[in-house]
Amino acid sequence: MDIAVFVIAAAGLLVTAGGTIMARTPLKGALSLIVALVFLSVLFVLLDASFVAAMQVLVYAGAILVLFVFVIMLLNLQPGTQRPIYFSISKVLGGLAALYFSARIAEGAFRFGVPSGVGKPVVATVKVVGELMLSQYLFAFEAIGVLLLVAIVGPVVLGLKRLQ
Amino acid sequence: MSFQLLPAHFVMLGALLFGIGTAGAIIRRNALTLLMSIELMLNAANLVFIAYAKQYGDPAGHVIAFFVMAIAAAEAAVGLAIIIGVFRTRQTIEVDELDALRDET
Repeated sequence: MDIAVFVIAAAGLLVTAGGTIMARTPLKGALSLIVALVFLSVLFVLLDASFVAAMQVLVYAGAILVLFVFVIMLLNLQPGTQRPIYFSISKVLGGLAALYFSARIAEGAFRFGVPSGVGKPVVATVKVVGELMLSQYLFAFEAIGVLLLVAIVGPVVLGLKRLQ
Repeated sequence: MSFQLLPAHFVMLGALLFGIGTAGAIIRRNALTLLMSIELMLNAANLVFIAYAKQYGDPAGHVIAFFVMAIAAAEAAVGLAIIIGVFRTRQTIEVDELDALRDET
């Protein structure tokens, strides 16, 4: 049962992720990315991370990607202004380099990081994650708060009318 | 049952997803698609964090996954604001047409 869910979700994730980067228009890419993030939250549930999965759907697919779609609609790119996808030697080489890169990451993970074994069950309720976030990772939590404040102020400054 | 679902399979999937994101960031020239490729890479890192949390039975990986989500939100907000600013002045979001700093010789 788990394996069937994993195979379906993994295949859907890879297909929609590929669709994101190969989409002709950014809007199709954004919609494909939303589906990919939902598939990813299915994988999170398989890994005992139901809270992270819920946040993935709410925050990522619900907020961040909607921001993307808003901006795409706001820019209102005309079909004539967008160039078609073209292929060149440098792009093919770049894609091959990316695949080689990911293969090396997987190889390194297997050589150094992932011991064999089925893993252990994780108790990651909201209570456990919240306590950890506000005790051991308190400094990172506060730093993220400052970062988010900057991310609020920055777009406001960038959006002011005196850009010339 | 000969095949069992291991955290290692999720790590492998995460590496593949990161590779797809890297390929997108390399071959595409549209600024919005570039940002979405970076989101894919951040999500691949998230998947690996959660897989390792399962491997060691430690919920700390979930906390880090939340921090990654917050950083992704900040990056998307600032990046999209920059894209809008660029589009207002240059009327394009193709990154290879933004060559104001290129050496003319």
